[in-house]
Amino acid sequence: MGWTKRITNLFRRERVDAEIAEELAAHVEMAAEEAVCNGAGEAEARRAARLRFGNPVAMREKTAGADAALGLAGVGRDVKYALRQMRRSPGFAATVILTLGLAIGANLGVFRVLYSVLLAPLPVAHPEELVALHAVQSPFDHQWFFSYPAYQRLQRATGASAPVIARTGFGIGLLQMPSQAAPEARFQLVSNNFFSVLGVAPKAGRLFTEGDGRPSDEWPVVVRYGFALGRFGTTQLAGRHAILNGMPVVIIGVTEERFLGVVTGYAPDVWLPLEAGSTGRTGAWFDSLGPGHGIRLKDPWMEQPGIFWLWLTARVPTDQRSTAAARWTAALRPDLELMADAARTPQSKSEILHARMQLLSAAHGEGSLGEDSSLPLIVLMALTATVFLVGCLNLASLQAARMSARQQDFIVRISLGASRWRLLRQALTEGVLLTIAGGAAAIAIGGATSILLVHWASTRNWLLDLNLQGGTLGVLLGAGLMALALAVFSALPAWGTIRASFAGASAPKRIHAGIPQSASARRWSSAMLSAQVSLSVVLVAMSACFARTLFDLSRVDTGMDREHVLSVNIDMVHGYTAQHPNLPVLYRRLVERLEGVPQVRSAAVEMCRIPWCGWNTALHVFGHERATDAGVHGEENHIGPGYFRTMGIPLLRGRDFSEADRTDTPKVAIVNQTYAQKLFGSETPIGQWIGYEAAPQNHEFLVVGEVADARVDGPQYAPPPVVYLSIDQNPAPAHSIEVRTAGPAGAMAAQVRDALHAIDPELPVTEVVPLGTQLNDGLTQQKLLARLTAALAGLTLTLAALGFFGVMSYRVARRSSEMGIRLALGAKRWQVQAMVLRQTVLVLLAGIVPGLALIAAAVHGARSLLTGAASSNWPLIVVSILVLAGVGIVATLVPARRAARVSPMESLRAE
Amino acid sequence: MAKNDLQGTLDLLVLKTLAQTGRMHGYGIVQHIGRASDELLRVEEGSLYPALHRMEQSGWIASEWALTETGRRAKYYRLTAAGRRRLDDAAQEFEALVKGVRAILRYA
Repeated sequence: MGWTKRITNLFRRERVDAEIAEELAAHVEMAAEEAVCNGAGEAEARRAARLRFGNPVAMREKTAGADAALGLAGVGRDVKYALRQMRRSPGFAATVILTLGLAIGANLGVFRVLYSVLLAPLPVAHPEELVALHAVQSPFDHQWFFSYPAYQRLQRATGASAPVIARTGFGIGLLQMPSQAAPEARFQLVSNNFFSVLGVAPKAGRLFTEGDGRPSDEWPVVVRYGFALGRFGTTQLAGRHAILNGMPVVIIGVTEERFLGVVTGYAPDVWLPLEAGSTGRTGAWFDSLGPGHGIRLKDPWMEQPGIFWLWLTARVPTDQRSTAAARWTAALRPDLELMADAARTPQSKSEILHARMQLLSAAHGEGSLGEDSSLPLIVLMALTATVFLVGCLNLASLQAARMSARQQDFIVRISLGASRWRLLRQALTEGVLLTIAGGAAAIAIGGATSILLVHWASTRNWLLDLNLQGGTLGVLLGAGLMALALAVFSALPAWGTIRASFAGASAPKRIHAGIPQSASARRWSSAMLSAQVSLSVVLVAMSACFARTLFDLSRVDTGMDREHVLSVNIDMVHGYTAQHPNLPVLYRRLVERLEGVPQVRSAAVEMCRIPWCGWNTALHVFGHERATDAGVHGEENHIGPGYFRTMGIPLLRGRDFSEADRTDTPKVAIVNQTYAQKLFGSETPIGQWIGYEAAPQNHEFLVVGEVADARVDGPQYAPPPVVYLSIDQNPAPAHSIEVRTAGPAGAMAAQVRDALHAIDPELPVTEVVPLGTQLNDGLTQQKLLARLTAALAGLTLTLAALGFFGVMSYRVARRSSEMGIRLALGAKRWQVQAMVLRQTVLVLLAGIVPGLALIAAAVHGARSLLTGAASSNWPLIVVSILVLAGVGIVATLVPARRAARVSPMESLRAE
Repeated sequence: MAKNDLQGTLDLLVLKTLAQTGRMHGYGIVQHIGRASDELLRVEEGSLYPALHRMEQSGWIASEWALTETGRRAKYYRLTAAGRRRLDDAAQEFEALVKGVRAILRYA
């Protein structure tokens, strides 16, 4: 066929040329021969024949032109032409590919994370039918928890028409199997119908069915695919026996690959039946009505309507939702009454009694990750999209400059009969090739970016579990961005230039005079550069704001000495406490041993690890009747003697706990300033009595001291009200031993670990980490924003530099004869330089002024993600604007110098 | 309507010549058109060869090198199936053109 031949012809140009030459020569010979036959002289005849042909070279060219002519078949030639153009300006090609790769790649990467966290449907059958059940939040922790008896009632209310499944929070456990190195595993307790209602299939073995909840010597467990493969290297685990937290279990199956549970970002490694909770070896997050309502935490939770520990999800077809919700509301009546009974104010009682079952879509997964990260992800997406726009504008202005440099070439070709469409197609071919190369780079960069983002968004100890994907939307986004880029950086500038060239072709004189950039073209490239500046200042300023936020939070005075405290994290729930009936004695031994280590100043145990303590409590003051539900809530921590000294929390009034506070002496408590304010107002807290329950039981603890506030929930949160109780008087499993060191805390980790092992090699130490590091764990979101926006700002500054350099270099090149004449007429070199710089300054100003409005809008939109200092920090924003302006000016200096170095003589000679 | 009238006419002449002669080289085509039209039509060599190459690229004619009666190497062209179809179309277009032009000339 024609076009294949044309393409092959392109690569055999010489042979084709030779053939044409031979063909034409044959023609001349034949004509001459015949003339000779007719009696003419041979030389004469040959001359006549040649004359008829005209210029043989032109003839050959014309004929060869037909061989590689236009129409659809010219694609190969266009590609070759485009490749030649790229070879001629490899810098431009590299800039385009890199810019598109980074700009589109960053968008794809952020979008993949956004899609996976917020938009991806759960990989189960008909995810749109799944709903989370929300009725009343639990009293202390404000979770949408239900008790097990409530779960059973709800399940019965709708039966198979709207099956309900239950799950607990995560537990961290030790899963011990022969030939396995790291035993830690995260587990979750689920109802027997969990997998069948979700419609999850086993990859190997089987999943839970009815009857798996029967008490047994060996509980059945299901293992997640990724965990099975990562930990054991195989999914063929069915029938293997193991020990989970000291309890014998048997693996009955492995879930399918993509199933990560129903909580977005957090996948359990192991699933257990709910009933396994009765063994007491699977502590999980719970809330309760509180002390005084017959709550027995040591007894199985399944029989107690006052312990809330289950999240419920149901599968309901859309048209049956209102019926199901009504049934569930009715079935929940006894639980609402129970909770209303425990509520303290008439208002909250009535709120609870009037609560109805709300059904929230669980099609995209449940949990807090989606809620918490939707704003940051949207902000990131917007900023990344801005970088894309900046990149496109940058390429557009570079291309516009380049195109007008090629205008002369266009004019010549138009004069030779090339059509607009022809020229546009040629220019577009180059754009398409570059876009495809950029797109390929973007796909690779996008994949890497999304993985990096997930790492940045994860905490030190828990890498988010996500099926990273972009879905159809991601593909459309990539294609759309590529098309948009192509239009902006290739089609529009090319079309503009071609149109201008047609105008130019009718005035051929200008070909010789050189084509100064037209005023409209100059305005257009300046406008694009200004727009780029506007968007760039927003990115740079936002990056500065996020960096400032992170800086503020990591330097904020937390009320604790985070430089010199080492946290030893321990996990005592797993049967360890059973071997140590007298925990206070164990604690004293551990602390004494630690205090014997050189460089250790003091040590103390605490029940609640900082941050994420979250042991919420409620206190009543003896002799006061102003208790409201909100007024008395606070956090509770049980601590050993010397805790405040170790943590660097100052004692404001009264005394610390001491060895004299024993089980046979009155129970004592220390409150922090915020709690004291809440409980006692302006009265002194020392000597007051408090208790968990309303009168007459409200004098359980005597307040003996008041300490300063500390940001124990994390540096980004205001100090919560905290009550400290003595761990000697109120024994509890310690989750942390805090160690105060003389030097930097990090350097002491190994010695501290050794000292603890010397006391008890069995002590379940999970981590030894500086308090500062641990406190900053809560800053993942801030770190993510600061790091990513810094990367984006760096990118945008590079683009700005490239933009100014490219556009100004081009302008200087175009106007070099003008510069030469100016210099010849007596202009000083600095004046010429200033003339170029002035253009940059004008472009910068035109961009920065609207940029300020954009910054104000962006800061306002993201204000909840910024600290107050960062969001009202205009000096910082001014600095970031100056940085951008500096980059623009520095990038202009090179072309400005070049302009000043133009030789007047050469310019005049060229004229 | 007929498009590219003049070029189309050259194409038509060449295609028709090849249909009549089976296969022919460029020089022969010029000669044939001259003879068949009683020397009324004289094809310009400068237009012929680009046209031949263009038609070959379009797949209407095919070429091969062969020896002439006088033992000279020459490039011979012949019609392809697509060329035959093109010939029919071009002939019809030409008829339409001639009819149209004649109608205009007779008007008034």
